[in-house]
Amino acid sequence: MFFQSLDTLIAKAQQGNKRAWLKLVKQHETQVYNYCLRMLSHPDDAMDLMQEVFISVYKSLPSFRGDCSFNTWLYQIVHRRSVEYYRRRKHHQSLDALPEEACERSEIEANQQQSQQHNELKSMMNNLPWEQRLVVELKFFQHCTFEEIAEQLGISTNTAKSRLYSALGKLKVHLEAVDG
Amino acid sequence: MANLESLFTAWLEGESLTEEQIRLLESNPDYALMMENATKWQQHSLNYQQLPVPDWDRGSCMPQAHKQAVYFGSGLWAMAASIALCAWLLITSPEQTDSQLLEQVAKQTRLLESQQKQIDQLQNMLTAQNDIQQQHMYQLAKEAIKTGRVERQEDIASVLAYIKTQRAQDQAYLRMQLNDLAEQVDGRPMPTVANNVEY
Repeated sequence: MFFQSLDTLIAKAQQGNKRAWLKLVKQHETQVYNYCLRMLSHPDDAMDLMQEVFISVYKSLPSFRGDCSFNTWLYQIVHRRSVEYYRRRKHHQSLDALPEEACERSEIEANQQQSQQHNELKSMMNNLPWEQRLVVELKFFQHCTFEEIAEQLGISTNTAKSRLYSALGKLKVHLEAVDG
Repeated sequence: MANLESLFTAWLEGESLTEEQIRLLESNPDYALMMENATKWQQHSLNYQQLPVPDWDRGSCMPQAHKQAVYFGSGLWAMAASIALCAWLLITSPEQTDSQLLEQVAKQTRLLESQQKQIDQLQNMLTAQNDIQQQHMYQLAKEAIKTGRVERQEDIASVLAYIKTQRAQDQAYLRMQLNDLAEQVDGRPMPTVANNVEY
């Protein structure tokens, strides 16, 4: 049997089946990696965070009861881990102060146009404080409603809205600065 | 303004607005700008091309949590194998009579009884050991309190002795000063001495 449903994979991984677990990781790693990359802007940091996320998922997998979808559950872990990662890193260095060329040199951004888009997005993201970055990620890239954002981040709906509005206002200032 | 905010929220949530409502939002410069910026983010989201994940060791995110299960599994296998072996021995030894089996059962029972006795003895020893340890702890605590008390008494005595010495030295010094003053007063002529005789 080559194709297994997500539920089967989860059930097998919960029983400690290594192959099922690795398949599960492979199915979700791209989404998680790109999320981490958007949030942290640096491929090495994104890889570190992604590994931490999957370790956490593996440890919590026995407690997954299927009350919500696996994706929702996974992203709850991703948000928690990313916040912890950011707080931990903040003590060492400013993530926003990382060298810009780190991503440009990367092989994965060989395509010029794609690279430009990614750099622009990175710049926009870096311009936002972490809390606003999270809300923007959830709103525009994960397509969550305000209620879902509030639930995921453990804040009120109004706080989620005000963070997003501030982020949209900040973008204005940033773009004005870029345009000169 | 509150109406505009609810309209903007609805627009962000993907609800369809009428043209008039959209015009209303666009007529307000703040909301128009936020709409424009939100559209930019949405464009970025739409155009975003997922980057492939660099090669990494997926097994590294699989800590040793399930190793216990593996060991537990092997333990189960070992138990199952020994049961199977016992069953096989019983089946393949039909010459064994009931009396032999009874004898073996009796042996096992005796063995179990002796093991139980040993366990009881060990339990008693542990209890006795615990009692002794508690007594030792009590003695130690008592000793520590006593030592502390004696040390405190010695300290207080030395402080008292020091204060006494200090006081004696102070008194001697004062006496000397008074003597000096008395000598100075004796050596002076009378008019300079305060005259407090009543006339």
